[in-house]
Amino acid sequence: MPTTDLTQIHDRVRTVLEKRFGDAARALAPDAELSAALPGFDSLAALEYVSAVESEFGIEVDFVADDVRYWFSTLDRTATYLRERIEDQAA
Amino acid sequence: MTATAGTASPSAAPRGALGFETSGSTGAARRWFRLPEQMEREVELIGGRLVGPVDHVVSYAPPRHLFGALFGEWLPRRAGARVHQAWADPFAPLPVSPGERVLVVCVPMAWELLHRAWPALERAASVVALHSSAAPPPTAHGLIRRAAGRLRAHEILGSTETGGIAHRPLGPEPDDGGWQAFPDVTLLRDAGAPADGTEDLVVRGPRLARPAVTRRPPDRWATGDLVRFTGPRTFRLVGRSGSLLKVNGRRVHLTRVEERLRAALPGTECVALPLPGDPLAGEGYAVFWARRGGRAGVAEIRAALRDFPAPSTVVELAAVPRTATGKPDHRSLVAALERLPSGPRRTR
Repeated sequence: MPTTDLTQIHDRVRTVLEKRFGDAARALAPDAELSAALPGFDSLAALEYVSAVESEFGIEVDFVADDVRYWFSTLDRTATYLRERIEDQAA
Repeated sequence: MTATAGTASPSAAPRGALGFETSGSTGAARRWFRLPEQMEREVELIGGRLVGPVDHVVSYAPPRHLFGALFGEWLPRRAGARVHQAWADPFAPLPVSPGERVLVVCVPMAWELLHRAWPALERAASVVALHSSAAPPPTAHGLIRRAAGRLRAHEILGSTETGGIAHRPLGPEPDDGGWQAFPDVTLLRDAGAPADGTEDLVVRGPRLARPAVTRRPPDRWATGDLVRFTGPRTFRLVGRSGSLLKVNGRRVHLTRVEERLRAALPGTECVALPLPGDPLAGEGYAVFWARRGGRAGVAEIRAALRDFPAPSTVVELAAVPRTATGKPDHRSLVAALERLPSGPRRTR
């Protein structure tokens, strides 16, 4: 069963960001706004981030029902969103 | 079109000119000037030839890039069409009204969004997509299949330096179909071209941009693409001149490597890059890959390339890093290679 441990989810999301943003993502504070903290994190990069997270966690984000701009704006929020999705899938 | 662009130009610009910058992701950043009449001409040419009447433009290409400026700003201004700059907030629902004639300006990432937003687009009277900047992803062909004739799509080959050079239809299946040159583009042929018919793509025309460092546009522009001509004004892309390698004595077009991988491993994103020259090992290349729902692994990648000289290294990434226009970001890929514990491996 996929883990719902928030720390592990955090680490996997950070790894996704590191592949694209390298050192800046490694040093990222969990509550930092990605658009402010990561150089080049523009709207299209945000879209790539959501796609990469979908691929990493095997989920599909609903752009209409989910508040994507909110949940994918920081590392913390993304991890919280993912934990809820994983728990929903397991229920 | 293939490069990033800047905003309004400094005092060195000709009156009314727009300044664009090539990003430097594959070389040094440079600045280019484009005149309003060149923008008008391109919009008229491509709009009239490929798009037709439009009420609403949905643009996923930021206007700081030539492609986004042309079709997300100049074309709708000329057509009196309303514009939705979808690149600014790609997660927002598409505000498409029933009966509208819609043009969608696409970079690779846009297709995933269009796939999800298709129920909204289906309400339109017609939908035309213009795609440029990098190869369309498998999602593009998937959406065209799903739309079953209700979506017409065209791919444009061009660059910040040249504007649009040629076009071809985008179909329901990946296809290495031929490109048709736009009518005001002159294709300069090389009388001394090699026997296999591969030539550099060199163009001349009224829409060449002026480099900031010169007083006038160049007489001709060598694009760096390798092509095989199939008619007086048609050709197939063979690769980039920098992507032609000789590995263990055999010629390898990295574009062909990528095509093979796309065809053999749908759902897997692959990019092939030449490795820095090694005086002992000679030329070689790396394959970067990312799962996008596919089940392939390194073994499948190597098996798919059994007819090619083997890659020196195969590097898995969470996602292929891309520039804002959707092209693979070569600098980030090279950096990923250098971060490998063993550095750029040479396994031959």
